[in-house]
Amino acid sequence: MKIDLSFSGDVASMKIEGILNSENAHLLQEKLTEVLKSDALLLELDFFECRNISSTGIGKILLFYKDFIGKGGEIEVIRSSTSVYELFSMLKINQLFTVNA
Amino acid sequence: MHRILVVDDSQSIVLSLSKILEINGYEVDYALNASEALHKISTKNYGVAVCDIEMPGLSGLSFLEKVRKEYDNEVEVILMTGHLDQEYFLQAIRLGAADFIRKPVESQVLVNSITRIMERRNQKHDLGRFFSSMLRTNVCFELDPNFYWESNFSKAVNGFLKNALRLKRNFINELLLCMDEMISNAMIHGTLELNSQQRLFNMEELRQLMEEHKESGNKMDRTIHVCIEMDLRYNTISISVEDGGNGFDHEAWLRKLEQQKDVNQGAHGRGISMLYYLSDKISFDNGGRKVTITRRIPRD
Repeated sequence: MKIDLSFSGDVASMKIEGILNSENAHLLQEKLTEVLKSDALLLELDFFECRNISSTGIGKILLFYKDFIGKGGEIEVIRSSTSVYELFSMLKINQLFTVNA
Repeated sequence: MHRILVVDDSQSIVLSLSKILEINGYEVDYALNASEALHKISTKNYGVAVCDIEMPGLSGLSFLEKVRKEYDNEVEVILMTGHLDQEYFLQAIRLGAADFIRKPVESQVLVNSITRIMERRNQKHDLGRFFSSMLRTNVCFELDPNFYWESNFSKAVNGFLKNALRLKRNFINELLLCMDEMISNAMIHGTLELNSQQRLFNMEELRQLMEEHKESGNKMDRTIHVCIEMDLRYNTISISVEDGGNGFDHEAWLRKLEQQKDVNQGAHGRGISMLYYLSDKISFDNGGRKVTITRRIPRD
């Protein structure tokens, strides 16, 4: 699993590749903490090359989501693989923020 | 006979390499650019593709990346280049190149490289043939919770599912995700019995907690049993995980899941929802300590 994080103004862009599971979800947590500590107000998540994501990974995102909207931030999934899109839809994550296929 | 695909934008190089390989007993096909090569590998089976890195349009590295990620093809790729740049080399290794050879290509170097690769490939296929001749394969592991997060367990299982059981990548991804959910639940609930606050721990805090449990002789001896069973009579694969904890009221969770209308933002139940979604059948035994998921194996 590989995570690329970059910042441009108040936008943070995170690209996640591979399988996000309980063995590596702490890496996502570290990156999300970095975003939370920054001045970013929009987090763009790119899951296009993420083959799957575990509930632990989703848990980290939801936990971040609560803190991030608390400081006026927004999340958008700009691209997602079919499996991640289906999983987000099944867990109704798309009710919380925009999830693009 | 193994079929080799030679990819280079120079027709003279393509023809000379093809000749060398034909003399050495290989069936050879060629493409003058990476797009044509991608089209060929999607329509025919090749054992090895010998591909130049520097080509107009798609480069050899982009070709390799697309072969793996978009085409999910297992053709072994040998990359050729006139200058062995370290960055190219590292990127090629990361993308899964089988070998890297210098241009102008020495015929013996190329033939030796292909021979080694084909030997490796044949060994892998022998293993696959062995397991596909078994009506039922049952492999079990007993995980030590002290080392689970360092064990790269899912990576090892991935190799087994791919090389021995010869399952498709997308299917393996879903199985691995199910297994990860089950083992993660077994660790969190069955072994460590984490409360809601502890579940928010980062890795360092979690390791510290495990160390404390270990020193006090508490919980860390609760091993986790994982079994993978493939039954070709029914064309199914099952994964079961059993922990040494106290179990849980799985029937109540199942009822709750059926009624759930809103987003599950809490720490509980998402994993079970995902298991439901990703499996054809889910069952619980031993008071919820053992969970088994079953999937039908997709075939071409």
